[in-house]
Amino acid sequence: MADLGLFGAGLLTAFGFFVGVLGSVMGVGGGIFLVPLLVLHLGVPIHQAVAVSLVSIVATSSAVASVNVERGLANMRLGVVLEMTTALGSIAGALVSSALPGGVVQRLFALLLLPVSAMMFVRGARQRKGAGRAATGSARAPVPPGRFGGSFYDPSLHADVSYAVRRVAPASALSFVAGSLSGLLGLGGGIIQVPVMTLLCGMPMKAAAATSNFLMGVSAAASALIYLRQGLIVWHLAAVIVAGVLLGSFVGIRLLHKTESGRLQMAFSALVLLAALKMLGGAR
Amino acid sequence: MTEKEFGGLIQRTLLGGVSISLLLFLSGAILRLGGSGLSEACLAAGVVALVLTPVARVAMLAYGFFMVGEYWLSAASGVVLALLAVSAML
Repeated sequence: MADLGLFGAGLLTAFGFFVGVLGSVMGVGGGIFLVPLLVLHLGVPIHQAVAVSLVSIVATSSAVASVNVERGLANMRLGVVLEMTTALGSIAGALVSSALPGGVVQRLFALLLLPVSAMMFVRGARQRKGAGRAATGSARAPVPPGRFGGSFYDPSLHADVSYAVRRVAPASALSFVAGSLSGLLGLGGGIIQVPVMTLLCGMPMKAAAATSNFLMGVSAAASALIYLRQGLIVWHLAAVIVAGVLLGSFVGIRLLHKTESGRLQMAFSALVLLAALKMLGGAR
Repeated sequence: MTEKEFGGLIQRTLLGGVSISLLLFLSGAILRLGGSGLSEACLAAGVVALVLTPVARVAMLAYGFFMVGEYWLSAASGVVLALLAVSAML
């Protein structure tokens, strides 16, 4: 905290808290908010920002998954299968990122934020529509779970939801891509994993978000261990942010049932778009 | 081991790692305010404890799947654990 000062450390912890709440409510790791803040406002080199972001993703994932496993929302069986390719992709991404100049990584990050912003907006709109349908009480009919299927109690439907999981092999291949992005750019990969699990595997949104959150901890840890060995993790910076992220994640879990995450996602898609444009402009 | 006990094991592992890490961050901050040179080591230990939390969770998954008789999922967890070990050595 020598470079930050008490006030700066407090501000970063508060920002980490905000990222933690958003991460758990929206089912993302928070890297899309954290990396631009560190690079654009604090002048942290992109590789160090990515490393700190990965540590904060581990924090969000561990805190949120501890509750989602208990609620039966996170599908541990599917999670561990997808973790094999996600971890592999994450290692590859971290190695590629370390070899690339900072300006290239920053441009890649900014370019990826553009479709992420659009997807957040669309996902938010869909969730709002889904929430409307849920309010009218449309529960899924029970389905045989199969090898990877599962079930959980959905309080918004006042019913148990059971589901089967299809197309695990192509989902594993796409998880490699999600893992690569995690290692390369310090993102959780949820922006890929959640659509893959809902659209390709046929999982309900809540189970997909929880399972994505469950496995993003491993992909982030795989890359973070590489950045750790390379000495790219700034301890005091990571500690002040992560302390806030952890506290925010636990508060976010409590808020999860009360907040309308669809509207939040639509609002924050504009913020992500702005961050993308600023990072593109600032890349050297 | 029942499914509920298995979930409880994973939950305790994750909460344990996160709690240890938070305690180390708090200790590091207090030591820093007291002007101790140990604060950086404490913060570093907190970050390392946090990064190792998913590693411990995967190890518990391997154990849990083995105990419930789902051997191939236990083996899959072992593969993930091996990949994490490789990343720690790169």
